[in-house]
Amino acid sequence: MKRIFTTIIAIIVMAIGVVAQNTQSNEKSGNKESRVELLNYLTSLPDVSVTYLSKSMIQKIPNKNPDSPLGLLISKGGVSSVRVFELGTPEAETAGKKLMNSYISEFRGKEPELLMFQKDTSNEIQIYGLPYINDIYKFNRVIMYSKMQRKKALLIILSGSIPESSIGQLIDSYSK
Amino acid sequence: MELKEIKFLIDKYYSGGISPDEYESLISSLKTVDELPQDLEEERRMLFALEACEPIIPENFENRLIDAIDQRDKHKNSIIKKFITRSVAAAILICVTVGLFLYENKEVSHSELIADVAPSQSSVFEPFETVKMVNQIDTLRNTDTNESIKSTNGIQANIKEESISTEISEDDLEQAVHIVDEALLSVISGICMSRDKAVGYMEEIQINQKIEFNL
Repeated sequence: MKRIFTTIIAIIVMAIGVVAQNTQSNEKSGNKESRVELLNYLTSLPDVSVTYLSKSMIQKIPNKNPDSPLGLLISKGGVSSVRVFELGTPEAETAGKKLMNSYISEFRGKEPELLMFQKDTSNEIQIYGLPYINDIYKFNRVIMYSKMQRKKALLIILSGSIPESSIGQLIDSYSK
Repeated sequence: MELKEIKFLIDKYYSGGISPDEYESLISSLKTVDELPQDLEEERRMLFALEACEPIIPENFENRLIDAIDQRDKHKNSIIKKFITRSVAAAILICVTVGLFLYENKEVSHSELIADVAPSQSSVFEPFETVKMVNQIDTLRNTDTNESIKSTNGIQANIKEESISTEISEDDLEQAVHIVDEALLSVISGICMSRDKAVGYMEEIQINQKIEFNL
């Protein structure tokens, strides 16, 4: 009798586990599809330019200028890739924001940190940091969205293991 | 046997340290001696009475005893087995949990197949998506080798794969770095403007508060 109860409980626990796992994987695959769709859509739009620097490319950059923003970030270490989207139309801007939101919403680490948010009639800036679970002082991703008057909107995605202080130093260095 | 020796053996009998030979000699000497002191006479009677009694041994006592010992050993073994099984199960659970935790927190792999037409982190892409990306890369690469950075429709696309990146010329790389630098500078200038605005608002608030106080 005792064994039967134990077996039943074990089966129930396993079933719950399997159901939970399936639900999570379905959610994950849903996010994957949506992000790929978003990227495909975004790049298919006119007046959208995308620049990507992978880790190996960053390592191969000739004449690394430590005074440039990228050079400063590289010198601080932890940046494994950089993506820059230049969004020339309102439609592209909306798609860029959706892409940013997809990165934030599907992030499964610690709560994404809103590092900056400013919006008025002409300008808008949003900066998010997605920290690691085991190291809150490092960001897995830093996402910057900027829309200034009479300029194209920009979406910058920094990936890797970026120290929190690097972003602060980057801003401080160029705000003088 | 002397009385002293008989007393010594009786004491030994009560203390439980008497050997079978000594017990036999004690009984035989008690049988042979005619007269004994009062206290030893009582002891003799009692010992003879005990000697006359036959112990009652239950049926299959020996087998039952052996079975009981066996059961006890089995119980001990089952406890050890249970302990080992549970320890192994716990260790597996801990390993799986730690593994999952590390997997969830792993850094973005840089060996991922990357194309700007679908930039994302490696763990996100399923095989079929990667194939789709490779097709896109091939399509874009075949359009024009020189245009590996600039694709048609006004879409500027850097097509990167770890292996492909070696084919990109220094000029293209510098151009990409320049674009990234410009973008970062633009965002930073926006941040500074926003910060100045925020400082301005704060100062305004402080001035207004002073005015209210003066009133």
